[in-house]
Amino acid sequence: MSTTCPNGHLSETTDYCDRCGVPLEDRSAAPPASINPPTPASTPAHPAEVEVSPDTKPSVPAEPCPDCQTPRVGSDKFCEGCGYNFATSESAAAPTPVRSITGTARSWDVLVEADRDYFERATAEEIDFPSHCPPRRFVLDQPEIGVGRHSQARGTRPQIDLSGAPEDPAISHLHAILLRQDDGSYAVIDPGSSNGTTLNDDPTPITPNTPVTLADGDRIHLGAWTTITIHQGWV
Amino acid sequence: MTTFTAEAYQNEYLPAGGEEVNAVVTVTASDAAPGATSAQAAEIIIVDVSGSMGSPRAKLTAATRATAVAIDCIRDGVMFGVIAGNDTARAVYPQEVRLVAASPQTREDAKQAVAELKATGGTAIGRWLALADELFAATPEAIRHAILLTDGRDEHETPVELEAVLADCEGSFQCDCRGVGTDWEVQELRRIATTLLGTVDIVAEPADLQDDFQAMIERAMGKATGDVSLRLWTPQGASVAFLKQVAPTIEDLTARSSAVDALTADYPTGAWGDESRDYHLCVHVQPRAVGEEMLAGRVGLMVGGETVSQALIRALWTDDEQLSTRINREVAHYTGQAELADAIQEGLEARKQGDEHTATFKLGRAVQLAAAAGNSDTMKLLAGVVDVQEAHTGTVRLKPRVQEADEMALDTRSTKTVRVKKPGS
Repeated sequence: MSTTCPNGHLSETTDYCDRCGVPLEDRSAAPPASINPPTPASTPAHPAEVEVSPDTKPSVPAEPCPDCQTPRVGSDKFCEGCGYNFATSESAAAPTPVRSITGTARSWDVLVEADRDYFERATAEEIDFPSHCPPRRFVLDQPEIGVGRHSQARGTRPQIDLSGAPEDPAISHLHAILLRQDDGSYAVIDPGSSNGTTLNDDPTPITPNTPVTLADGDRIHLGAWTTITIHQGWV
Repeated sequence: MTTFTAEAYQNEYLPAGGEEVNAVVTVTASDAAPGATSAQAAEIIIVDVSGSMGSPRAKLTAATRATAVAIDCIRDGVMFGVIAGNDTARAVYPQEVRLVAASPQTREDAKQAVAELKATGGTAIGRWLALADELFAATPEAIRHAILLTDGRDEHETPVELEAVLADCEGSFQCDCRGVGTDWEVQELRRIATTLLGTVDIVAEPADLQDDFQAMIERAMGKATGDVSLRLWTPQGASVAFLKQVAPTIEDLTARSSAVDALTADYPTGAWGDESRDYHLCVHVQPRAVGEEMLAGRVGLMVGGETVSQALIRALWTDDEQLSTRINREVAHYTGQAELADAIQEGLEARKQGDEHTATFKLGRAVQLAAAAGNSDTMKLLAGVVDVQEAHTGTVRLKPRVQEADEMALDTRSTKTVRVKKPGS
């Protein structure tokens, strides 16, 4: 049995959508009582639904992706955030869940991917390109954000922790730091990583301990195959 | 027949824009007829017979006696074998590359073979594990468990060789590791035990080996369900910050995932007997509007390719700070337990490096956390390394002289946790 969620996904599960997690109609009809036992006393009951008025639509010029809210870039077929297909999706016509956006501050996030182009031009043959490496997104919400692999021995855990499987073997424990500038944008600093950090198509590593300001869409290359693309979010 | 249940504990309320969802999932396996397990099992005991095991002589004697006790605990019909390891690995019983079914006769023969072991040669743990892996290959259906006993560092092969063997053995069998004496490396055995979903501990006194071996083998014989994994689904746009086992010990499973599809991954948990374990899950989701709800995670238990139980992790955005700032008791408890383990390991490391300031601070923090959470065993171990002046403020002084065994016991057992104190208990 499958059902269609408000965002237009065909879901095999009937309690919540199996793609975006939005609650579905059947949830109350078949409460998973034995599955989700009484939550601890500290957890209150289900809250009253809060109405979201339709005129609080985001004031972004670009169409937001119905799945992850990332603004669509131009007339791109795929969402940069989650790969949502704008061209073929049924949900384009479906009512899009309204997301209220507060504040006018620019927000920045980064997408971490295994990058075959970079791998092929930069990396020695002993290392294999990972067969499966899901892209990961991190929101830049701190003035200083470490990028690297966590180390239990050293007790360090960078905020952008790239030790998840498959692990890029050529990334240092603290490989790079993203530093917020006065204007809200970010700069990258290589604190002296073992294998260096390069930007975009320039094969020369950036100078250690010297901040380089990043623009929307800049690509930071590190390790054997990792590329971090920085995005400026909605205003 | 074992039944599994999964329960989630969390505060599902997030502030506007909040994206971090934390939950503790308790998984309990209960057997309707305990003790009557019919699961097929395979057991290998790996005994270090390197030259150092012979000095003092009591070490090898204790190891062979403990092995004999363990052999006696192996159930009839369980496929078993004994490996002696030094710079090579040798099948001691049976003396060929296969396992035999346990019976009164084969247990006697095995004990006889073990009693004749001599200590000589070096230490190459990877080769011991490789032989165990080869022996286990003939029993793919069984719940496969090994015990590894060593007294020294892995010196006669390169770390790369050991890593390669570990990669081969991962998922093939589980292995509990024990270090006897104080000349072995905690990090090294922990690495092996963690990869092979086993435990690591110190047996400082060779005489204590028998009880420990007996307990380990009884636990292994109690496992009724092999190859259980956690299947975690998270919604599109979400990322798993971490998934850790937090009770009975802390094991970070985050990097152990194998993808099922773009949104789902499996994490190995090994074999289960009658027991209960807790997992701390932290997921980062794309925030939704205040008033909206999202399923942030679905944790299922996979046994033999089927989901037997599941728990739901929810996220609900609210502008009511009363709700969103509330910290769930279970999540807070295990966050503290993880900090405790880190504080101990970092404090001991700082002490080794001669950084007394950091060591005092970290171990003081550990004392404070252990006292608050009721880790009485950990408190006793900490007292071997520091003089506690005031536990609730974490005021401690480093002991000028510390028994090496006390320090190693604190390090190896730093990942043992206590569970949430239930109200009224």
